[in-house]
Amino acid sequence: MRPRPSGEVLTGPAASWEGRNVTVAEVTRRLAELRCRVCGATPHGRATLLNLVVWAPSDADAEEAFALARGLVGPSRVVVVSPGGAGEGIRARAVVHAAPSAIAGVTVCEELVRIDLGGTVAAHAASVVLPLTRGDLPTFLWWPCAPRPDLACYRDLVGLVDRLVLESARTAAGPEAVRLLAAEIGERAAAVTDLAWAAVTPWRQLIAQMLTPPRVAALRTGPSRATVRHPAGPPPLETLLLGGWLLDAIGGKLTVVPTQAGHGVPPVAGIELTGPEGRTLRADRVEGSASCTVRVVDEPGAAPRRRTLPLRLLDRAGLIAGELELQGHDASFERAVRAARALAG
Amino acid sequence: MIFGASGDLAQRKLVPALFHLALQQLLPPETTVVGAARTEMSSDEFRAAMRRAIDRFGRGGPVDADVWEGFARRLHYLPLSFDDPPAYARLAALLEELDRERGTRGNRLFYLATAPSFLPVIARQLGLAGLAAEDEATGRFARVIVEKPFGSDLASARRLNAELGAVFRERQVYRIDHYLGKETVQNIFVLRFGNAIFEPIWNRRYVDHVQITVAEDIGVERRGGYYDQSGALRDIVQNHLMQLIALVAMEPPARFESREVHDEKAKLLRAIPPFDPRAARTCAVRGQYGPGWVAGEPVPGYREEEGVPPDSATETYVAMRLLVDNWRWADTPFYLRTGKRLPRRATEIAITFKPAPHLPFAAAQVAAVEPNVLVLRIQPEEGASLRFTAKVPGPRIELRPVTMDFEYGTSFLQGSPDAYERLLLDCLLGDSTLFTRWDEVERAWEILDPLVAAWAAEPAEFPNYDAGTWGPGEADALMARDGRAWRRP
Repeated sequence: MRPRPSGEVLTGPAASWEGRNVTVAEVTRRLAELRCRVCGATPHGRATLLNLVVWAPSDADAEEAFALARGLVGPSRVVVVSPGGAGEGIRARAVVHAAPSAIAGVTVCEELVRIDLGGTVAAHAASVVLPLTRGDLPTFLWWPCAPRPDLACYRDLVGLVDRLVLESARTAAGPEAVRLLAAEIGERAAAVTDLAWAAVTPWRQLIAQMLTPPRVAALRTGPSRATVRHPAGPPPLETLLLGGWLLDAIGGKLTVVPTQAGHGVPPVAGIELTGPEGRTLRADRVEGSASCTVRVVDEPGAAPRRRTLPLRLLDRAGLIAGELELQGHDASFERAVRAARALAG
Repeated sequence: MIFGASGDLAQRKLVPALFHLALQQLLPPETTVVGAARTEMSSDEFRAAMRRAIDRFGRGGPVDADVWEGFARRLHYLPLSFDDPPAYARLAALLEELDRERGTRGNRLFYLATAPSFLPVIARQLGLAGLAAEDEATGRFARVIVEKPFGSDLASARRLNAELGAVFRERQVYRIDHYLGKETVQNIFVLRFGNAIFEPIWNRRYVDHVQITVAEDIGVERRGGYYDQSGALRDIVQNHLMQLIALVAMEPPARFESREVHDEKAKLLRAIPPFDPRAARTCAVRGQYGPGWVAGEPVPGYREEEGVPPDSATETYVAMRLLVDNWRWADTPFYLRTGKRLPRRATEIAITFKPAPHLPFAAAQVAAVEPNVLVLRIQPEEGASLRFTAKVPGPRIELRPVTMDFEYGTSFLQGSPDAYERLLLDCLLGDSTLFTRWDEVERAWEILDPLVAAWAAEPAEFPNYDAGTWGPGEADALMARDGRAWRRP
């Protein structure tokens, strides 16, 4: 799964349809018609990777999600559901386009539907969404907020899917988000993840790249300390998840300390790992850049060795694309969340 | 001859199917259709009603006026009370007149699209009127198509068969199960026996289990009165599901001919032991839907449907586990389920294969892989798919299930005919391969009869699932006891 390369234009045929006060059966029929129109005499294959259901609390969220989903390579069918429809019933917009596949010259049909639910049907979104997903494909729910187990609509939608992608940081402060995530993991059959976890993946890759097994063993034997620098205020979810991952991955006598690094810095501005012999590894993101500066001091008083290493900057499309790659439970994430609870207070 | 010609089946399926057969020039030009029912109407009124039905339910859009005129001339209607002997005399006179006018040579096909209680009455009257007789010297035939359900239990099915048998010989009786006319169902034969790669692994050594699902999102529509006498077990399991399991599990016939295919299906059904009433609770689950939401619309519970008593104990959902006691399938469970008001309409057969015996990949990266699943989709979006495991592009050995998909709609230039077209044509041609033979029907009842009795003896606590869900929790528990889960088609 990946976002379309910037500048890539969908040059293949596309067809769209909109309707108000429609039934699910009509939407399904229209999708089939659009597919026929797009395919014409030369049948394109249909993408058979996954269904992506997106919960969009507002019209703006729905538009953004629709545009963003259209920019992803891979989902077979995207269903953006918004509960803010005017009046009673279902308003639908469907787009089918022939998109380039990984094989040059071969295109596949991707299908996007936006559903606005008005009135009482909004409380029964799952009954609309399920028949609109394609059967026998893994189904993901992107819920761009913190978990809401108190909402029947949330519980019903999560019950339909194999994997739940949250964006807890959009509606909850870091410590609260960790508590909510910890409560959600294991509560449901669906695998759970959060885009904040995707956001710290480049940091985890960097740290894993820098730490050899003997260094990890030394940190574990301790006493050792990890500092994760974050913006002023309570530690953001990303900071806590990275700290939780360090606690889980290294464990032993490692102490993780979220530290405020000032205003305007990214959620994870940098990390510092100090081992028992005073060996220090420090990495700081270069502001606005897909790189970081790394400083290693082998022993107290020694001259530091400095390097600049790549550290990917992921936008929202990149984050969601990454999380759609995994289909099962992410044990590493689940352990990190549980460990992060200790840091969340 | 269509008995029950003013009914739903004739309008939705039978006359549109005959019309499309005529359009494709698959009906002999002299073929004439006579509708008969208790409703009083003229032939012209019947023609007008059938024109509306074809416009509404036929495939291929609005009907060309000239084409319709040609077909309409073949349609006739006779008001008839099914138990009135003089009416059959009038019918015989009409058919003789049409023989003379149109040259139909005395060949008769009687389609009994009526309530089950009329089947023996009509058969008896046809016999008394001399309409069931064949003439082997001239090749003149008289065939009867009987709709499901064939009986409501083993005893009533045997009684009905004896009543039909008093008038018609077995080779004259065509028990229709329209699922067998569907292209995808026929494709089960071709997939299994026309390809070399499947049959060697189509057995207990490689197949973990099989799930057969007939899920409907609709309720009982206007058929509440009928359905409440029938229920899911009689309406779907005894016929459609038992036929599907027979097709999936049977041994290869020597030839794709009626007798050979029926022999193998009957042999397979005989290998399924009848339900042990003591195991009814652990091997079968029944359910009835309550109110809920389906496809964004509120729907009533079964007991609130038109024509259904408010305390109805009729099941709208059945799930069960069957075993086939033979060398090929010993200990391989077949899970069957059907239900109304489920979240999605889907009929499929899913063959889940056993996992690979050894994974040579690093355990840290690959803990387990999902099993291969071959899915035969019968409706909607007829086709087949095979799920297998592939490597995700990248430096790691990361595995993910992927699907190879075949869709009828995109793989052939011509659309699939309606099941009734195929079956009516086969019956006209005297080919009963895609119909059910009496011993299959009887054995299906023998398997299910103990369950019918056990359920009748023990009241159920209904409703036990909400409309728009995948059925009662006990059905999930049935699978969970075996360490498995239902698919979500």
